[in-house]
This record gives sequence, C-alpha cells and structure tokens, in this order.
Amino acid sequence: MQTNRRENIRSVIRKEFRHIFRDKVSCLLLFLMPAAILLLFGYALSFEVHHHNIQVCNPGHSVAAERLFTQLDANPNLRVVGRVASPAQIGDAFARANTRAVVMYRDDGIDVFVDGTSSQLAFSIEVRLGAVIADFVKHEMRMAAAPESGLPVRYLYNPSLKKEYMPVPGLVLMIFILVSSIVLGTSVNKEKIQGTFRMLRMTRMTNGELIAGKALPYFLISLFHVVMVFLICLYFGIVIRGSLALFFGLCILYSACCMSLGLLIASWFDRPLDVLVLCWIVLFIPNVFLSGFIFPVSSMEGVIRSIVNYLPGTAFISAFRNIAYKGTGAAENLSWFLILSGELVLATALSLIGFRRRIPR
Amino acid sequence: MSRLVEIDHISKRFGKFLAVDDVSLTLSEGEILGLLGANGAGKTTLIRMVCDLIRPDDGQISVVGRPGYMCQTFSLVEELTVHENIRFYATLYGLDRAGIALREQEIVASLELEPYMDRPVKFLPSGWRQSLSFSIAVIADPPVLILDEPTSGLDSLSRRRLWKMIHTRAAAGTGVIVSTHYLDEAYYCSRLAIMNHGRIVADGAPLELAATQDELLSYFR
Repeated sequence: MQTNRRENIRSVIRKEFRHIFRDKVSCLLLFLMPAAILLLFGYALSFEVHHHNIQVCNPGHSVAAERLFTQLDANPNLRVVGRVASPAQIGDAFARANTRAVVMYRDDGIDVFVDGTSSQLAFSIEVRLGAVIADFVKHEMRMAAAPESGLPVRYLYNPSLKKEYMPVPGLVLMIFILVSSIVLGTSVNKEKIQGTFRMLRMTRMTNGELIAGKALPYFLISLFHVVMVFLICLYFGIVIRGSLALFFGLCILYSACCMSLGLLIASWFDRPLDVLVLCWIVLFIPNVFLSGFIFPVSSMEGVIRSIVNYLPGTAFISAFRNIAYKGTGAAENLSWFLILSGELVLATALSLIGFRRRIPR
Repeated sequence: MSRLVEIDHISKRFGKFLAVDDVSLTLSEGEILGLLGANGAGKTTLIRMVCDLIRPDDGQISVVGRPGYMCQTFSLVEELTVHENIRFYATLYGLDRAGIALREQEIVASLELEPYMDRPVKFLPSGWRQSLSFSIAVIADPPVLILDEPTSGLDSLSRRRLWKMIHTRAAAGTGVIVSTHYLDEAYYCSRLAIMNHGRIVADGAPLELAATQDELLSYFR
C-alpha cells in the first residue's frame, strides 16, 4: 500500500515535470520571469540614484563659487549639466532641462533649490549635495569650526549601505508568490475544470496524494530559485550572517505557505479568471506592497498595521532580514515562524476541505 | 445477469437548484444504459454521484468494483504523448510493468495508434483523442464503465467507432452507463433512461420508448 502510494505520487510528479518543461507558458512563468525579476532588480532597477543632474548659478562671478562647482562636478553622483545666468532663470532651468537641483553661490551664503516632485529623489540629492557643500565650507573656506557633514552615524549589518541588501528579500518574496502560489494555483484550477482531476480521482489516488504529487515539482522549482537567490547574494557580496539551515528553513516554510495559499484559492474557486485575479489581489499585491519590502510597516496606520503584521510576506521579510543580515537565531524569529506555520496549517486544512467539497474521499 | 450498480432514491441539490430528484436505477452485467436528456437535465450530476465524485444528499448508491470513467471534456494530460498517457494512467490504476506493456500493445493495435505514439495527445484529431480516452478508462478492466457524453463534438465516423468499442466491452460483460443528448444514439443502448429536470421520466428498451417518441421529444425542447 505504502509502495503504491509512493509510486502514485512519483507518477504525478513525473507527469507534472513533463508538463512544465513542455508547456512554453509554464516555462516562461517558472523560469524566465523569476530570472527577469532577479536581473531587473539586481542590476537595472534600484531605489538609489547614481547620477543627479544639477545646474549652478554664480551671479557674482565669484572664484570661490567656481571651486565649489568643480568639487560638485567631481563627485561621482553629481553631474553639472549647465549654468543658470541669473536667479530669475532658476525656474526655467527646472522646466526645460532634466535638472534635479540648482546650486546658487551668493556672497553671503549658498542656496540650494531641489526639485521636490519626487520626495525620494529630493532626499537623495539633498544628502549628496549636503555632503559636498559641507566639505567645501569646512576645507576650502578654512572654517575649522564648521559643522561635520552629518551625525557620526555607523551603519550596522550593512556598513557601506550596499543597495543590494534592500531588494533581495522582496525578490525572493515575489518569486515564491509567482512560482508557488500563482502558477501552482492556476495549474491546479486548469486540471480541475478540464476534468483531469476527476479522471485521476477515479484511479486509486486520494486527494492528498494528488495534491502532493502536483505541488512537489513547484516546491522543488522554488528551492531551485532559493539556491539561485543564495548564489546571487554571494555574487553581490551579501553575506548570510545567520545560520544557513535557519535561512533555508525559512525559505522552505515560506514557499510551502505560498503553495498552500495558491491551493486554497484553486480549491474554492472554479473559474480560471477568478483564481488568477484572486491570486494577484489577495496574495501578490498585499504581500509585495504592504510587507515592508517597499513601504516600511512602521509608516502604516492603526488597523492596517495590525493586519499587515500577519501577512506571510511581512513575516518572511522580517525574518529574512533578521537571519540573513543581522545573524539572529531561531528564538528571535520564533513569532515569524509561528505566523508562517499557522498560516500553512490553516490554508492546507481549508484547501483540503475545498477539494473534498468538490471531490469526496 | 448480476447487478453491478444499484441507485436507490438519490437526490442532489446545489443551493436552491435540485439537480437530481429521487432517482432510482439499476445496471446489470453486459447492459448499456443510456441516459438521455437535454442539457441541464441532471445526467452529469447523476453520473458523478455514481462515480463517487459527488456525494448525494439523499439515497444510496452501490457499485461493484471501481468504475472506469470518461468525462465530458477531453481530460487526458495534453502535454504528454500517447505512450506517456497510457503508462501514466495504467500506473495509477495499479497495473504492474507487464500489465502496462500488454495493455499498451492492445490499445495501440486496436486503435492503430502506432504512428502517433510519440505525439502529444493535444495534437491528435478529436476522434482519436476520445478513442484513446475510452481505452484508458477501460485500461484496468473495470466491471462498470461510466461515460459522460463521450461522443459530444465528434464526427459521425468517430461516433460510430466509439460505439463499436462500447459494444465490444459490453459483450465482454462490462456494464455501461452512457449519457448523451443525441437522440439517434438511443438505439445503440440496450436500455434507456430519459431525464428531465433531474427526474427519470421514462425507463425501458429503446424500441418500447420509440412508441412514445412525440412525448420523448418534448423533454428535449
């Protein structure tokens, strides 16, 4: 009996892998899409701006001002792209050119005008300009008592503020939702409405064997992506400070949790469009936008914040940062593991009820 | 002839909709029971209850052995080849290696599928696909065979070939329940049960029921 059960599950796994590798759309979603996400966020897309275009204005034709402008242009993150003849033309400089800031040197001080349409960009350029101008004031004007360029801050866990630290947990989160929830959910739904599930249930298979055989290939593909992410972390110089076993354990638990949520939706809804839309609305959007990957959870208000703390994505991102970046152990992340385990058990139980409701035994 | 299926006063409701209403039927060895009715008459729900894919709200069903089943839509694994589909289902039905090889040879020979063995089934013509589905439904020699509108969408030649296969199985003692909404297929069955709004409104041999043809036709409107 045990052998039969194993053989049944093995047969469904083989069939599922053949299906995945022969179906172009499945291959695209399971391999090309995650690769594209990793490449885009790893290389091309970044929340950090490297080159700010600025203009300078020196209405008094000061020599000191020219020295400041040379220092600004020498900064690798700033690029002086033009000159504004008079203060009255500063508005035109922002309107016409792709200018983020204008630095105007007056005899009695320095004025900085920053494009505030994007607060993130404005903050970034303010930091860059502030550092150069403070340095200029201190060294060039020989003002020994000039303030430091900022607070004496030391950044822990990511001393050089590497940009790659920020998106990595979010990328893993997105890939798992895509592979484990959305593709698995829609694949199960397709077989359910085509009748393949009914045909399979007429053999000796139980619902549990069928779901195990169906889900395991997607789980293995998720693990492949975990390894890829791990290698990419190494490539970008991100060191996993915590226990590797705990790190992989977290990824496996989160992947299983995503699969159970995908199966839950597929088990209770029949129309492919319903399943797809629900996967995006219920799983992808809240987990990506509210989990702390893009917007900090601490910036959210009241009820939303209380709910968001129970999202699997929030638990994953928080535990990932704790284990991988801070090197904390199981005890410090127990609450996140409990949330993920609880949701896994609950979603699996509800999806089994959903499948049994449609197909008994 | 021994009884293979006994359906005793079963009913099934989906919300407020009564899909099957107090139906009782039997199926004996070698019998081909045709379930006739318009779309929505309750044929598929009744068939799924006999297959234990849906539980009835009331009544009881007893079936000898595990039935072979072929559903309304083409439900083999489209990406797998003919050869892989046969092996996949044969394994799940519990056949051993020798049994699988033997059954595969039989299916290939009877359907003349040799040239298509390594072709994904989604590329087979619909007539061949249904014949293959049928062959897989009977791969484990079930005592009862349940076919849900197997000829739906097929050309007349493919329909005739499928009915020939059904008759061959019935002649070997398999009891067959087959649903259809084609009136002309009624004469292929040894017994007919006409369904309308979830109830059996007529039950008998095709020629007996032919006498009340006008009344029967009214159930298809």
